[in-house]
Amino acid sequence: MLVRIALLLLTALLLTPMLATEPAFAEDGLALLHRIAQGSRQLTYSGTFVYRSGARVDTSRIAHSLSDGLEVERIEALDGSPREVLRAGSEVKCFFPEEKLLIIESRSSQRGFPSLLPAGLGNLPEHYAIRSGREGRVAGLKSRAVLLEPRDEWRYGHEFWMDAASGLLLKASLLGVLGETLESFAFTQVKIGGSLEQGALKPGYDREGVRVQQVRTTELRTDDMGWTFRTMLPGFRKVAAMKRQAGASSPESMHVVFSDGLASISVFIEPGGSAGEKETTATLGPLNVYRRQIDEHRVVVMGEVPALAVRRLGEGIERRHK
Amino acid sequence: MKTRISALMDGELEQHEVGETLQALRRSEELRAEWRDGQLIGAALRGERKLDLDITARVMSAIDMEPTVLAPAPRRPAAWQRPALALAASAAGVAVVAWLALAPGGQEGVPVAAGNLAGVKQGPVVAQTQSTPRLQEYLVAHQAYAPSGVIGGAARNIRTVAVAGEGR
Repeated sequence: MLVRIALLLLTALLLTPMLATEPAFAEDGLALLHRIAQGSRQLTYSGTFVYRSGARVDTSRIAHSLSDGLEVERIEALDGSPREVLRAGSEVKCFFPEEKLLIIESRSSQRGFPSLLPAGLGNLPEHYAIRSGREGRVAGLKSRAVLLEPRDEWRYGHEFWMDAASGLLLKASLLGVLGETLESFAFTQVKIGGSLEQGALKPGYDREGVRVQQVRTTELRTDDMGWTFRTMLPGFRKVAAMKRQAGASSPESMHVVFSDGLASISVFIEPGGSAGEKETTATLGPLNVYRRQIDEHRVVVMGEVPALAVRRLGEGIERRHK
Repeated sequence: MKTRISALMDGELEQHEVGETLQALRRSEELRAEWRDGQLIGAALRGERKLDLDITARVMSAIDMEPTVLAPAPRRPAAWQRPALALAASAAGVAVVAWLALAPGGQEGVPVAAGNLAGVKQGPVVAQTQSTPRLQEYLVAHQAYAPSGVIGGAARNIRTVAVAGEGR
């Protein structure tokens, strides 16, 4: 018994300095996160990275630059069909060669979505225990780690590794409830700064015979949504709400985005589906997807959050009665 | 430690043991595998639907395509087959589900996969012309509007490329 008490005391003594410095760690971690956010936006870089999700491993190439305040980037899958994402400012183009499909998403106005800008990191410590300090090497570069452990069951953990010199995010992992890696991406080779190779940001696909799906979105005010969210998840707030239409013949649907500053959840509500469909949860890579039929509407909730979270948010969705 | 883990699953551990066991889980991949298997078996025994592939397939198909598939309903597996089926589904894992969801055209994939796994011959597939947004489009939209926050612009689109190509 005495030994036990002694051990306990010793543990307590050993832990005290750690506990005492935790706030400093958190602050330090937050500062690192700000650096990462800034670096990812402002730096010019190109390289190759590996993406893992479950048993799946993919290699892709990325090039990114910021010129005249416009962020431009191109990602191309090197394994399998050459899928491609091109982004210029607020416009995202995704090309799927097998379907010969080009999906274009453009945010109606940046001004309309101020919360999409890298801000609001200040609330993160409320929902995540942030720790930093570990040093290591990623893609041959000296790196520092920031670990975010969720404080509740509504979100996953994250681990970020940034280049100590530039602040570029070199490696990121999404961590499950038991600390297992659900998804990760890591540079294997990267060139930071300087200028990009000629044509690094040019689309690689041939537009011949490609079906273009230009998605039109208009901002929606809360009052005009016609739907209410009765079960809000702690720390998640609405960051965008819009009407969207994929083409002239497509039905108009609604897209609402919730975020805690790190994780995000999308809710899609569209006319269609058949009454009597049972509600269900499924997984798509690291994402959980919940689907439910409400009268003549199909509701799909997806996000890189535990299944519990998409289900909880989905179950609280109701038509608003005027 | 393995007995500890099954005790943890059954909620039979003392408070202090819970902490220790969780710590151990964090440290050891082998133990985590043990935990996952246990969870899967438990879920399968309870007949939880998330692991039931034909249900998942049906739902994903409903999300994926309005073109209604007219196929004989897959026969429900006999109760004794369920755990095995659930484990098979989880082994095939996310890729199967995602493939079902994002199969090009989307019309043939679902009944074939669901049918084969449930041991049923594939039925006729009749597709209607009405189309609705598919999961792929949702995924693109989700990633495009996810706050750039920490990860910044670039990294959030990585998932679009990688996950959307799943199962190809």
